[in-house]
Amino acid sequence: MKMLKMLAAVLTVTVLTAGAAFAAPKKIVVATDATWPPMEMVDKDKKIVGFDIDFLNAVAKEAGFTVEFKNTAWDGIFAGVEAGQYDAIISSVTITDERLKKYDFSMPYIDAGQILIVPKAEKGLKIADLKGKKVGAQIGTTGAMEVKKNAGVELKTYDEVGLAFEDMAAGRIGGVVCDEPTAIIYALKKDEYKSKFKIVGKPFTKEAYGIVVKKGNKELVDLLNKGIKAVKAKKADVAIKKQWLK
Amino acid sequence: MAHIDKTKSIADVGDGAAIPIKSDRGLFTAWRIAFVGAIGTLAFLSFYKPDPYLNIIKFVPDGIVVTFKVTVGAILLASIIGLITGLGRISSNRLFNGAASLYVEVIRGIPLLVQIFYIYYALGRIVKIPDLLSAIIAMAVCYGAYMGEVFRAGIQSIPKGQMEAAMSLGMTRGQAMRHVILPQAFKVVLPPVGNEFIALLKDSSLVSILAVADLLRRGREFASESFTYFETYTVIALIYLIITLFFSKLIGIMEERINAEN
Amino acid sequence: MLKTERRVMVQARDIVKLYGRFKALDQVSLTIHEGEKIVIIGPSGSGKSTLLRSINRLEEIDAGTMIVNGMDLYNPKTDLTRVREEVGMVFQSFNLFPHKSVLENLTLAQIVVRKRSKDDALEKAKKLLAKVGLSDKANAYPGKLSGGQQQRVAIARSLAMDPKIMLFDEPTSALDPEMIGEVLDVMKDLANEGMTMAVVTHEMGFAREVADRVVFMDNGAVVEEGTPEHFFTNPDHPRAKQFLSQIL
Repeated sequence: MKMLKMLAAVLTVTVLTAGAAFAAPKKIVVATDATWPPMEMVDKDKKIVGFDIDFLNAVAKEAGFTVEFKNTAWDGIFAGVEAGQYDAIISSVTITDERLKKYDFSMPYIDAGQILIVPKAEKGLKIADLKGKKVGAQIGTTGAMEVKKNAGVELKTYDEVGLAFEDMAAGRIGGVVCDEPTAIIYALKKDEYKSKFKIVGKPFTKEAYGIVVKKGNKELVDLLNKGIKAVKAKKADVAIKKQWLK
Repeated sequence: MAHIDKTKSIADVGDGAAIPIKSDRGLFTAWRIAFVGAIGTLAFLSFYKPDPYLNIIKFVPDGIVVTFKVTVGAILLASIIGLITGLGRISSNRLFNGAASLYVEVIRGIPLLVQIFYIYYALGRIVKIPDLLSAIIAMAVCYGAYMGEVFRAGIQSIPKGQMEAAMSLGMTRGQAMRHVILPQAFKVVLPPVGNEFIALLKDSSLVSILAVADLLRRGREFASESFTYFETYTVIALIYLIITLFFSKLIGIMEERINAEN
Repeated sequence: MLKTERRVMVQARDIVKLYGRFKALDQVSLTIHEGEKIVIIGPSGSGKSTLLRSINRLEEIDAGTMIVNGMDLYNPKTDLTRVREEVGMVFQSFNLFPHKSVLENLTLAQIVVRKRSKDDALEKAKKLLAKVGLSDKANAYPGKLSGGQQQRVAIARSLAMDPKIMLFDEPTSALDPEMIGEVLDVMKDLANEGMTMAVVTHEMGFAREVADRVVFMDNGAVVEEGTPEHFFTNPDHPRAKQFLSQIL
C-alpha cells in the first residue's frame, strides 16, 4: 500500500508540474525584416529594435506571452509563416485585400501611408510626374504596387529599401516610394542623404499595419487583439511612438 | 600531338555544366531526358493549371531577355579582360605580370555575391552609368579573373616550338602571339570559355540582388505579390534548366567539331 | 688561304651556358664563314643543340660574345628580329604552324616580317615548294603531311626569308628511317647552291659528304675540329675515337 501511495504522490506532483508548465507564458516566434528603420532595424549591438519591436513587446506583456524575434528577408517572409517557420510577422505589414485572402491579420495597430522621395533637383511632386524614369521600392511592398499603377513609370524592386536610396544617390533611379516613417529616416535624418533627397507631397495612401499570422490561426489572432486593445486602452503606445517616430 | 591532352584537361575545368558529348552515353541520355522533361513539365503545368503557371510564364520573358543581355555582355567583356590578364600572367614584364596576378588573386578570394554588390555600388559613387551596364561590368570583372586563367592555360598549352619557330623567322613576340600562338590558343580555349558562359549564365541570377530585372528578379516579384512561391520558383528553375541545357548541347556540338578537325 | 678572305657569318667566343650548376657550354668558340658548311656532332648532352640555338639567341648565354652577320647579339642596341630574319632555323620537331596551310606557313613571315606584298610572297612560296618537291601540297594543312614532307616544308619556310645562314637542329632525328633521305637530299641541294649551313646531326654519311668542317663536341666543349676526312679516319682526341668506334 505504501508503495501505491508513493506512486500516487509522484504522479500527482508530475501532473501538477506539467499543468504549471502549460500555464506559463506562451512563447511566440515572430519574423521581422529588420531593414526598415525606424519601424524595425538592427542596432549597433546587433539587436533587433524599432517601433514594431517595442510595440509587440508591450502587447505581449498585456496578453501574457513572450516574443522571440527572427530577422527574415522581406522577399519570402510570407512564405515562412505559411510554412510554419514562425508564428507571426510584425514588419510594417500593410493590411490589404490581397494579403487578407492568404493570411489572417490582427486588428490594425498603427496607421501609415506611402510617400515619395526624390532627388533635391526633381520638380515632380507625385509618382505620375516621373514619367520615363525609374522609381524604386522594396519588392512586394504596397509602395511597389503603387508605383506599378502609374503607366510610363518603370518600377525597380529592391531587396532592401536602403539599396533603393543608394541607387538613387548613384543617379540610377529618379525616385523611391516607401512608408512615411522610413522615408523620414532616409531623407531627413541620414547625413549622407540629407543634402541629396527631399520628401515631396503628403502620404498618398491610407494604410494600416497589422500583425500577420497563418490563415486559420484564430487563437493567436485573438491573443494579439486582446493585447493590442489593452495597450491602446492604457495609451502605452504613445511613449513608443514618441521614441521612434518623431 | 601532345597538346590535345592538355586541351581536354582544361576543358574539364570549371563548373559550367555537364557537356553532353556522344562518347559519354550516360550523360547524353540524361541530357535528353532532362531537356525534354523540363519542356514537357512546363507545358503540362501551364496547360492544366494556367493560374498561376501560365501567368508566371507570361510575366517573366523580359527577365529572360535581361538575363541574356547580362550573360552575353559579361562574357564578351570578361573575355577581353581575361585575354589581357592571361597575357599578363605569362608576361616577363614584372609590372604587367604582377598586376595581372594580383587581380586574379584578389578576385578569386572574394565571394562573387560580395564582389557584385561592391562593384555595383562602388561604381555608382564614381560614375553615372545605367544599372544594367553596371551589373554587366560587375559580372565581367569577377569572371575576367577566371577567364584569365583559362586563357593562360590555353596559351601555355601551345608547344614552345611554335613561339621559337615564329621568332626564328624574325617575328617579334607580339607578332608571334598574334599570328601564331593566339589563333591556336583560341581553338583550345573555346570549350572552356563555353563552359564559363554557362557558369556565368547561372551566376547572372545573382544580379537580381542589384534590382536588375532579370529572370530571377521577375520571378521574385511575381511570387512576392501573388504569394505563389513554390509555383514561381518551379517555373524559374525549369526555365534556367532549359536554357543551360540548350547551351551545353550547343557547346558539346562545337567541341566535337573542333576535336574532329584536329 | 681562301677562307680568310670570306666574310665571317658567325663569331662565337668563349660561350658559357649554365643550367643551374651544370655547364652546358664551357667556353666554346666557333667561327663560321660565309658559304661554309659545318656539321656539329657529338654524344647526346654534349651541348651541340645548345650551341646551335644560341646562334639566334633562342638560348640565352651566360658569358661570352656572339656576333652574327656583323651584329652583336648581346648589344642592347641590336634589334634581335633583324638578326633572326637573316638566320633560318630548322627544328627537330618541324614546328610548322598547324592552323595555317602549307602555303600560308611559307608566306606569313614574308608578309609580316619582310613586308612583302601578298603576291610576291605567294610567288616565292610556290617556287620554294616546287624546289622541295611539294607543289601538290600547297593547300594542305601540316597535320595531313608525313614527317618528311613537314620537314621539307619547314626548310622551304625558312628559305622564303632569304636567310644568309641556315641552322639545322637534328632535322632528321624525329623521322621514320624511310623519310630521312628525302630531307637530306633537300639539304644537299642547298649545300651545293652555296648556302652557309650549320647542322647538328647524327647522320655521319651526310657529314662526310657535305661538311667543309666537322666540329666534335663533348661535355659542353669543342674537343676536335677538322675536315671530315681527318675526323672520320684519324681523329686526334681519344673521346672522338671512342665516339666514332661506337657509331660506325
